[in-house]
Amino acid sequence: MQFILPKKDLGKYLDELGMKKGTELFAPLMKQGGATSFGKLSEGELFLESNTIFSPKKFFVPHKEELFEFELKKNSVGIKEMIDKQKRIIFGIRPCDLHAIKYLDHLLLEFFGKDNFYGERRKNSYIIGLECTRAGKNCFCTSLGTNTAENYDLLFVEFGKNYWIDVKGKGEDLISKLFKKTSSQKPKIKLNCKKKVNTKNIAELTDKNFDHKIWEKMGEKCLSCAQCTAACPTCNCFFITESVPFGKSKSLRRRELDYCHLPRFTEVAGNHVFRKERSSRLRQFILHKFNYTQERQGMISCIGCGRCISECPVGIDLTEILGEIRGK
Amino acid sequence: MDLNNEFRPEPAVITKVIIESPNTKTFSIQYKDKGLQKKFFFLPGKFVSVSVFGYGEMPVSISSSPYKTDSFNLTVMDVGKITHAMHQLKKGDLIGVRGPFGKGYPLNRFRKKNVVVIAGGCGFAPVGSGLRGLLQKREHFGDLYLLYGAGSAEEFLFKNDLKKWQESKNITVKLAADKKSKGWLCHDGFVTDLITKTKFPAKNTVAMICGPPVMIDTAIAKLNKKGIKDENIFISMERLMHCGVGKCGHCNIGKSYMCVQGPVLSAKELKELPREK
Repeated sequence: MQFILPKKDLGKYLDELGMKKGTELFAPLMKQGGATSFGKLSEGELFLESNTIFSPKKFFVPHKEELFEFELKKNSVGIKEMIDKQKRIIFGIRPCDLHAIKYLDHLLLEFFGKDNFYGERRKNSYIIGLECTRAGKNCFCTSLGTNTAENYDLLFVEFGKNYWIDVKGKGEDLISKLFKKTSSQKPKIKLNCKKKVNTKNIAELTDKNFDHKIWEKMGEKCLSCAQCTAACPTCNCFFITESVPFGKSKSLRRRELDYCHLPRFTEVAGNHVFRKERSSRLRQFILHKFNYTQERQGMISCIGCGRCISECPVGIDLTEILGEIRGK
Repeated sequence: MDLNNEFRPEPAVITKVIIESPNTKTFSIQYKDKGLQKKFFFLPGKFVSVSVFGYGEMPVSISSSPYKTDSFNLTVMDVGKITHAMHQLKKGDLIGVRGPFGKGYPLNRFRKKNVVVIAGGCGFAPVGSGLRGLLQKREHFGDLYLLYGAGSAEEFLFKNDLKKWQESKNITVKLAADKKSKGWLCHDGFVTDLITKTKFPAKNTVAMICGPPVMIDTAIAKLNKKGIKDENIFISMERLMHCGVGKCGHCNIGKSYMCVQGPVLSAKELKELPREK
């Protein structure tokens, strides 16, 4: 089903969504200090000019999530599953980030079977996509085919003074009286990304060039700060921690995102670190996206949002690294 | 509550605690659910994720014979937060178990062959499980050799069994310790020296290895030199196998996730993986 909403009515529509009982609404915001991320409308100004610095992955693979609560009794253990049942509407997710969620869906719902914690969060979320009208300075989504929106419940496309809206499946719950039906086709938008990656045979190419000198050169530069992995909308490696909260008797097991750029990522007992060099950790980050997930899941897990480039404090750019390996 | 949740640990009871060395203990474990204990089957080299409630979860390989079904053993060295917490546990205490995970040593493929078991330090736990399996079905295998080394003789695991095996005609046992040790007949030096010093046939022989990373490379090279081919050498490449199900991303070597495609690999498979530094 397709609809039209005048741009001037977007605020009204978001207010409507915000009034839904038992549901929280999130949208891209400019927060105090200039950082852009998803939040509740009361926390900042609606920000629709470009994609946010922080990706919406926090709604699906949060930095920290509770898995179980254990109560150790004399002869048994009480185990409580801590499923997040909060209903959420997330407005304004860009096509690249929709593809990141598509990758996570494949990884955590199909490839390994259903991950209860992710699955429940995903089921309880409405995703409202928003197509981009122009590319950001570090975007390279057109190289990866992640510039066309997929995997949404509602999709907004800017079109003159209006939004053209596509509604799918459970997105019907969010149709408003402000919407007018239309039979017009999806407006065509051409994005012009300045950065590019040639993905032809990229797995074989990077296999062959596993010891290419560029890794060492960039490894010298890399600070191993892990900002790129934190910013990446598909990075979802985690570790499991457990502790007894102060003054409580039950212990909480959590899952926290972990970053392969940190030396402790591969550290085992006896202080042995398997990826000691910064260059091999940087290579792990980039090859995981462009090579390893192709082998395992048949897809590249980079979505071309360019956040890792924008966030890198020393200007490491994966499009340049892959370009150099290909020999331009 | 979803019982199929892959992260949900199953409660199990510690039925016995054996002190192996100053910093290592073996725990006998039995699932609380008798049905689960009955169904529990593993190949040596596989591991379980052990929950010490209140402290966290860690991967531990199984050290008892794969043919022992009423309980299984976990041999744990006191090296970190969770292992330390486990060392405080006593008979009757509860832990949580998930697994077994990963690929083990393919004991069936060792039939009618000579087997050289090479272990370094606490790497004796998983290959020790394999060795127990081999000895239990002794008639199916050719000559058996155990080459085992540790920092000092005090640190040897399974001391009673070692003594028994040393006297047995079923197996040739050679020991090594880095420090001079009393009471044990052993070579002063590394376990890998024993590969060159021990006479064993190269024909129709397979090797089972587990130990620290430095030991593995040397052991493979020395076995190769003796004429044992890469496809007949099996190594447990243990990494930080945190979740056990291939999701958490900690244990990959290139494209292979050790908790799923490993930890046991043939030297041939291992040499196809990239070398990371």
